[in-house]
Parts: sequence; structure tokens; C-alpha cells
Amino acid sequence: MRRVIHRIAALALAVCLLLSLAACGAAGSGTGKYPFRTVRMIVPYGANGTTDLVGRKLGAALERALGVSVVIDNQPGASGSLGCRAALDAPRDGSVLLFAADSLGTQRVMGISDMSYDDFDPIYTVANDIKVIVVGKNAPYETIGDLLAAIEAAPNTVQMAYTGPGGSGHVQALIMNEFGYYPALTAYSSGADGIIAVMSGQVVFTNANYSTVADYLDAGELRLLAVCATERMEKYPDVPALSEVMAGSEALLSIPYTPLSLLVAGGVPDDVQAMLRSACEEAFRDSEFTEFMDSNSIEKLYEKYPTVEETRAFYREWESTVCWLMADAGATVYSPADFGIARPAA
Amino acid sequence: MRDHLNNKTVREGLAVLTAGLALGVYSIISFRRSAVQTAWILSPWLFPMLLAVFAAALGAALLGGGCRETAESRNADKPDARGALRVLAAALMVAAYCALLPLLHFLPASALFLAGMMLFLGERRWWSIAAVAVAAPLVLYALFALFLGVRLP
Amino acid sequence: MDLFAGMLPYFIDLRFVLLCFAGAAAGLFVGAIPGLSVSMATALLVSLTYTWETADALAMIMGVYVVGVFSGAISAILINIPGAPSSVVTTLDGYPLARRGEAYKALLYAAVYSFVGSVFGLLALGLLARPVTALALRFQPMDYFLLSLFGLATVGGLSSGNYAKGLVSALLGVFLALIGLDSVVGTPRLTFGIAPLMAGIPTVPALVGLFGFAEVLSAVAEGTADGALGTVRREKIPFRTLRKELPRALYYCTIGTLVGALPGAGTPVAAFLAYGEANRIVKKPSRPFGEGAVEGIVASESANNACIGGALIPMLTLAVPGDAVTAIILSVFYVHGLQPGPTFLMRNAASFHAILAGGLLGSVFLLLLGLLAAPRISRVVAVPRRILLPLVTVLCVIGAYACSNRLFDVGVMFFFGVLGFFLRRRGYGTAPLTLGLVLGGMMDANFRRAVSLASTAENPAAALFLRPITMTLLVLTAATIVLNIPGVRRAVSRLREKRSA
Repeated sequence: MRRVIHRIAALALAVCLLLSLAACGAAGSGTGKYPFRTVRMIVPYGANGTTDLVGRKLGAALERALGVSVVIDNQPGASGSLGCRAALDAPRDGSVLLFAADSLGTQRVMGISDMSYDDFDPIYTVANDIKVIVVGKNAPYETIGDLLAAIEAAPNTVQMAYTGPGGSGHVQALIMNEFGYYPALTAYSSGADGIIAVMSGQVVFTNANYSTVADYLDAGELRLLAVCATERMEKYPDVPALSEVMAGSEALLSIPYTPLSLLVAGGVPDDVQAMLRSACEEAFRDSEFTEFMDSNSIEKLYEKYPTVEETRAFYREWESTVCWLMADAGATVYSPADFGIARPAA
Repeated sequence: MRDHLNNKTVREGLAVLTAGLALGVYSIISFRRSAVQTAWILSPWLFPMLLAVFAAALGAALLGGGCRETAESRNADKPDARGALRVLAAALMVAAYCALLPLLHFLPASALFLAGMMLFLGERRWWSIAAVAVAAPLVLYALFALFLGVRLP
Repeated sequence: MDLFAGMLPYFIDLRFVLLCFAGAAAGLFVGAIPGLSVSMATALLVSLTYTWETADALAMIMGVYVVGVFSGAISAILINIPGAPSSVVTTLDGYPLARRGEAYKALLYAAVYSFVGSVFGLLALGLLARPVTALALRFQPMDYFLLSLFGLATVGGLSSGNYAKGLVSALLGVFLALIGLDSVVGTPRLTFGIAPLMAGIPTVPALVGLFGFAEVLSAVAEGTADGALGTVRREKIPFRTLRKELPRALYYCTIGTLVGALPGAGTPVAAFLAYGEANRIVKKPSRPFGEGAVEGIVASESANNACIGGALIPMLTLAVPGDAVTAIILSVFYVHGLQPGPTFLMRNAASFHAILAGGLLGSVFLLLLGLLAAPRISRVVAVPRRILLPLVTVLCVIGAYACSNRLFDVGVMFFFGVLGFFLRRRGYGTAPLTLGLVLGGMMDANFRRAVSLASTAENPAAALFLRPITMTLLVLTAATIVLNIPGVRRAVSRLREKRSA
């Protein structure tokens, strides 16, 4: 009996040792040749939001492509600015990547931080997770028409969850404002929290990213009212696109509002950036990754903007449209002109 | 009145009351000056304001409680000058240790600190001081830096 | 029955059992060393278990999780350093017991009731995941705020003789928690221009300072560095005595599981609330609470381990992690291609069973390892204090540094140590401050959310309060505060005397 216990103890010790060796490996990054043994990918939002989901999938695919482990590091808070700041503060050797959402383009005018896309070098713009309007299963609104009528009838009383000033939910609300619909906004720290708020009846609806609610729609916990785009989704041919019910909104709704991009801090060596780009290209061919993108109806922006130049041009256009949209609504702290952001050509 | 002011609880009550008021004023000023203008109820300064109100109330409660304290209960915790000196010395030693950590390596700094602290606490057997001062940092270093991959200063 | 049939293959799978044991051993080790946290260990495991089979990874992670939460009690009892916020409450009675030379007894109770708590929480996860989820969904932002306030109001009266002083300490904690970038608007708040404060006060260094370092300073002040902390007595505790606490422990477990299921509330709240309840319902503790009552250890340890099962519930059914460790476990799921959510329990029954089986096996190993380790580890208190105190100080420094490799954190530890020393000396207590520090951010966010939601309603006051859960919590909180006002307290006790006379 004693001997058995000793053996088990010895085995446990051996495993502990192995564990710690692995830990040393994790700590030993930053030396030697790129890619280091671990690459940290900062996701500036909480677990299970759309940025997190796509980031994790891309991280897994990159891991296979690079042959080193890619650790996802959720650093949520302050409209994503905390995580972006952490990525800028990290050593600029490619050991830290940033998987940013759209808020990076609006933080300056919102007075949240002085960062923008210019502080980073794009590796790839990866995905646009389509925005959808969802209500709880017990909500009295059966169609998007019902909901819009209710919002119009009583401005600033129908509750909508969003992810804070400058986030993509805020932009969606502003687009609704343009057409005379004024929902009452309450901030939640992540898209997932906003969904919980809808399910528990704290708010009436939210503008969620499709992939984060797909499971809830299947389970019947949430009801899909509209797709915030100009086209219907293949999976839900009966659910209207928002442009169908809000006449004249086509131009505003055709822009990808949640561009998720893989970035590194400006100044990361060119050869590292090139290596990351080719790893990304390999990841985009990864069947597990493409399957995920397809099954969740996520728009593949890397096909739309395949080069760095096109990506930068896209960021400039995006910044200009969204920032001026918010500025004209009086929702920004500073004018986009202060940062040299030109008004979009009409 | 003077008697009351000598009472520590009364003094602490006053301090808490003042801190509460100061926090309230600071919150109002910060709210007025903040770059992102929001309504009061949505601003970051709403909650500190609430805290300020609570703090002021608690300060008043402490003050009241202190005034009712009897002379005996107050004398129960007479300051012990020697104890205070010892604490100050220990705290200074730890502060010096923290300051030395980035300058020296973890190992020598810890060995020095351990030896000093043990001497200070009354250990006189030189062999036990030497053994602990050398062995303990080595063991800790092995455990953290080598085993668990935690970088020590 | 399906549940047990589903778990059986894992129980008899030697590989699964051994991996779980390895995890448990690692958890014992990691949890007991201040500065190494369970979440750190799980994070490391995630990168290690990447290429493994899902079941294997889950076995090891559950082992670490279950045993790691328990073993925080070891350092809490022996050297008064809680390794994580969840073991703070254990120090209140555990350390006094150790000083009386009864460290063995304290560890024994901690191990046995951690086991009870873990099993209870996991069974709740297995059998009641759906109803508990439904219940958790009923909690609104105002309820989260009130629940935290209730926790603070309770703990204010527990760890210090003077209620007002306890509340001042709690308030200070909440204030310190507000320092940093605001979570909604993203502007710095109360940082006074100190850059490292932008990220807020780090919790673990603050805890290590408040408990460990403050204890060192107190001991130095007393000038009793000669002699040992306590002698080690290994008294035999009959099973019948040990068993006596079981009915109450089940009550604490219920609290723990429910609080654990509320995303963000987490283990420290559960432990504090259970401890508060223990103070209320245990009429004749073996010793007064705070001076070494085993009843206090039972409350804290059964509740914080019951949280494990509780925290896993919203993670699996809503994909919302209940605490830091489940947030990391969530990423394990994604890595292995599993998608938690409302349909998870149906679609991924095998993984669900693996989690349960791993957790239950982990509980058994907890008991085994705890009982084996307790008598050996409890000898630590017999080391002369003039040798132990310097070592504890070095551990405090490393523990504070190891969390995020910043010397700034060591400074934080030092500051909180000195603060804790003075707070204790003047009878303010450090436990309320801890709870305030842990809960402050959540209270702020939820209070503002509640106000924001209510501000657009027709009747804001009704929107804020007129719900069963909210009313209950409001009444409980108000009653706790009012009943602790000295005047009211005297009146109540006079009334009681009259009635009994």
C-alpha cells in the first residue's frame, strides 16, 4: 500500500515538474528568433464577445500556422482602450498582437484616449460580424416594425443595451437617431453582458453581433427582428434587412461597422510583420477557421481588403464616416477635424 | 471639549467626516471639468458622491460614539513607545529591502534582509542565521524562478 | 440517472483519474503558496493542454481548480496570508486557532468541509443547472449592487467590535476600488496623476499586505518574537464531532452555490455571507467568532468551495464566466471547439459529464491530500517567530511581485501592510476593507447601470426597487444596518431581557 502511495506521489511530482518546465517555456519568450515560444494576443474585450470569439478562432489557426502557442489575453474595459494601451506598452518585437474591434477608430473624438489606427500597423483586417437586432423571447415585439413604432411613439424610453460610448452599438443607435428613432441607452461592459440584459428583461433589445447570439436564437431564448445591413441573411430569409424598413439608410448600412483587425504596435520589425501576414494567409485557408466564419455568416474582410494599402485606405474611410456621423449627432467630445479626419465626400 | 479632542476615536471621526466632505467637493469639481460631458447620473463621479455622503454620515457616527466613550476604555490602548519604534524600524528595513531588490539581485538582497531581520528580532545563534539567510532565498528562487517561471527581480 | 451513467466511464478510466490527481497535486501546491493563484495555474494549463483530448484537459483543470480553492486555506491558517480573496474569511478564525496550537484541527475542518462544499456545488451543477440559471437571470443591476451592499453591511459588524468602524473600513475599500480608468466612460478617476494606478489597485498584493505584512508588523509591535507561534498539538477529533457541523454546512453550501452562480459576485462574497450567517445562527460557538471558532472555518470553506459548481453554471449555460478561473476554463472550451451556451448541456453531454466527473474526483483527492498534508504542514507554526517572521516578509514581497512582475505592486503591498497595521490597532478590522476592495468596481458599474435604466422609466423609484428580489435585499440590508446601530442594539437586548424575565 505504502509503495503504491509513493509511486503515485512520484508521478504527481513528475507531472508538476513537467508543468513547471512548460511554464518556464512560457516565461522564456522575448529571446531568440521570431516566432517566440508563446505569442500573446490581446483581446480588448471580455470573454465571449464577438471580438473574443473570432480572436480565439484566429488565434487557434495562427497557432497551427506559426507552430507556437498563441495565448489569448482578455483585457476589457473603457471601450477597449485599456487593452489597446497594453498592446502599445508591450515590447515592440511581435510577441504581443492586438485583435482590435472598431472602437480604435473613434476613441480620439470620444475623448477616451489619444490612440487611433495610426499608432498600429495592420496585419490584416479579418472579419465583420454582422449586427442584428434581437429581443427576448417574451418581448411584445414580433417584427422590427413593432419595435420601431414603439421607439417612435415614446422617444428615449425603449431600453437598448450597448457597449459604451464610441462602440459599435453606439454607432448603430446613432444611425437609428438619423431616422428619428431614439432608444434609451444603457452601457454594459461587453456584448455578452448586453445579451444577458436582454434575456433577463433589463433592457428591451440590443444590437448584437450575429455569432454571439446564434446559439440563443437556435435555443429560442432570443428573437431575431432585423439584420443591420442592406441584405438579408441566407439562414433567415424571412428576417428583413434594416434598410428595407428604414428608407434611405442604404448608404449608412452598407459599411462594415464591426471590422475586427489583427494589428501590431507601430514599429514592429518588417520581417516579423511579413511573417505574421503569411501566417494569417495560411490561417485563412485553415478549414476549421473558414468553417467557423461561414457557419456564423461572418463577412471575410480579408478578401475585400487583401493588401496593407487597401486596409489603411479602408480605415481612413471608416474613421471619416463614423466619426463625422457621431460628431454631427453631437455625441463626440472633440471634432474629428481636430485630428485631421476629413468629412466624407457626400 | 479639549478632553474630547484628545480622544482618538473622536479625532478619527473628524478625519472621516472631513475626508467625506473633501471627496464630495472633489467629485463635483471633477464632474464639472471632465472632458466627456455626461448627465450627472451617468457620470463616473456619481458613485464617489454617494460614498462621500456615506463617509460623512459614518464620520458623524464615530464622532458621537467617541464622545460617549468613558475614560477607562480610552486608557485601555495606551501608545507603547517602544513598540512603535520597533515597528518603524521593521518597516524601514522592509522598505530598504524593496529598494535594494532591483539594484542587487534577489538572492543577495534577500539574504541580507533575512539576516538583518533575524538579528533584529533577537536570533543570536550565528549558524542558524547563516543557514536560513542562505538556504531560504535559494529555495524560494528555485521554486519561483526555475520551477514556476516567475521572473524575480 | 443518465448523469451518473454518463460519469461512470470517467471514474474507471485510469488515465482520467491519474490526470485529475496530477492536477490536484499541482493545485495543492499552487494554492498554498501566496502569490501563485489558481487562475494563474489554469492559464498555464490552457497552453499546456492545447493538443490534448478535451476530457484529459478537463480532468487536469478541474483537479487544479477544486484543490486550489481549498489550499488557499493552508497559508491563510498557518501564516495569515490568504492566497486569494476567497480565503480571506478563513484567516479570521483559522489563524487564531493556529496560534493556539490547533492548526491541525483548523486544517482538518477546512479540508473536510471544503470537500463537502465542492461535492454540493458540483451536484447542484449536475442536477439543477437550469433552475439556477433561471434564478440568476432574475438578478438585475440594482440587485447586484444591493447584494454587495448587504455583504459589506454584514461584514462590518463581524470583524470589529465597533460597527461604525467596520463600515468605515469597508467604505475605504470601496473607495480604493474606484481608483483607475472608469469602466464606462474610460476616463481616469482618482488616480491623481500616478500612471500605474490607471489599471486600478491590484487585489492580490493588497491582500498580501493587509494580512501577511500587517501581521508581521503587529507581531513586531507586541515584541513577542521569542518563542513559537504556537505549539503543535495533534488532538484526535472523533468523526462524530466533525460531523456535527454538517447540517449548517449544507446551508452555507446553498449560499455559496447561489452566489457563485451570479456572474461577477464570486467566492469572497459567498464566504463573507456564509460567515455572517454563521455568526447569526450558531448560538454557542466552540470559541467566540474571530478567536478561533471552527464554525467560522466551516462556513468560509464550505461556501467558497461550493462556489466552484455555482460559478460553472452560468459559464456552461450562458457562456458568462462567474469568476476569473471559469473565464479561463471558458477559453479551454473554445480551444477545443466547444461552444458553451443555452444548448451546451444537450449538445455536449460528454464534456459536461467529464467536468462533473473531474470535479468530483478532484473533491476526493482534496480530502485525501488535505488529510495527508495537514499534520505535516501544520508543523510550520512551531518554527520560532524570529525565524518565521522574516521568512513570511520575504514571501509577502515575492507574492506581491509574482502576480504581474511589477515592483509597483510590492509598493502597494507595503502601503497596505502599514495601513492594515494601523486599522487593526485602532479596531477597524481589515476584512471589511478587503471585501470593499473586491466589490467596489462591481458596485459602481451596477449602481450606475441601474440608475441609467431607471432614469428613463415612467416611475424611476418603482423601476429601481419594485421587484421581489430587490425588495428582499433592500429590507435585509436596511435591517442589518439599523439593528447594528448601538442605540437600537441596546433597545433590542433590553427588550429580550424583559421578555425572558
